[in-house]
Amino acid sequence: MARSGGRIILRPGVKILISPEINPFSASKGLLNPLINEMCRTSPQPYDACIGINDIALLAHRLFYRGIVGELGKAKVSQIFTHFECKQVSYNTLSRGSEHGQAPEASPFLKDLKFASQREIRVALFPRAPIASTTLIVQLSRPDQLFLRSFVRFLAVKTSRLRHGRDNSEGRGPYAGL
Amino acid sequence: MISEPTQDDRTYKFLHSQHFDDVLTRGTIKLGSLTHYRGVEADSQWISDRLEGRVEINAGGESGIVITEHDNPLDRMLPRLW
Repeated sequence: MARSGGRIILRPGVKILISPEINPFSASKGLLNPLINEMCRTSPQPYDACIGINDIALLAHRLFYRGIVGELGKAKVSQIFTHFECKQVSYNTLSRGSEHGQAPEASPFLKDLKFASQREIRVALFPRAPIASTTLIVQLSRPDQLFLRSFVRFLAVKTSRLRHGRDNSEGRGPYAGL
Repeated sequence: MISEPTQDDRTYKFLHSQHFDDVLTRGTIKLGSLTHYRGVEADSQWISDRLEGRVEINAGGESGIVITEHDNPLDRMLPRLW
């Protein structure tokens, strides 16, 4: 028989993690120059190439309905995942104490505030069942319809020079190496 | 009427040069799981987050909490799911 007066004690340091599992394809949406600063200049392990995406909705559709996963016996992506969603990521404080109030619902479209300048947009694929491999390589048809060459082998200038507005002053920049 | 996207509407995939042709000309892309990206962060990557797709509630705080039938401080921290 249930009795009143019981209590639960959560000791210091007890944490609760709420986490769905999906497979995302990530890109960035915004003005190119601020994104280059974020992704190719100021980051600890900067990227040095960039591809334009013509239409992220078309890419999501092509990925889900036409994508093929070689390492899973050339299975269609739509056989491995139930559905997809495509939308912009929002940013919030994800490690929360009582001072933060009600937590947002855990979501693949929610990241911590410190990543806000990456302006991420995602295609999230929801697995039908747990997938043994943590990464999948997907083959897309007609990549020429999906992607545009933007730049490759970017040579970043030091961020101290950027603060003085002198980036690209030696001909270095997003189009170096083309 | 067809409106042209502004520069702000554009979407870019940043990557390392060695993968450039894989994506652009061969049309192959990598789909990692959120678990994978959490692990990448653990290896000192900067692009991923140990909290990828997660919300972490420091329920115990620094001094612990007591939940009773009359007062549940955890309720004020958990996400609303309705």
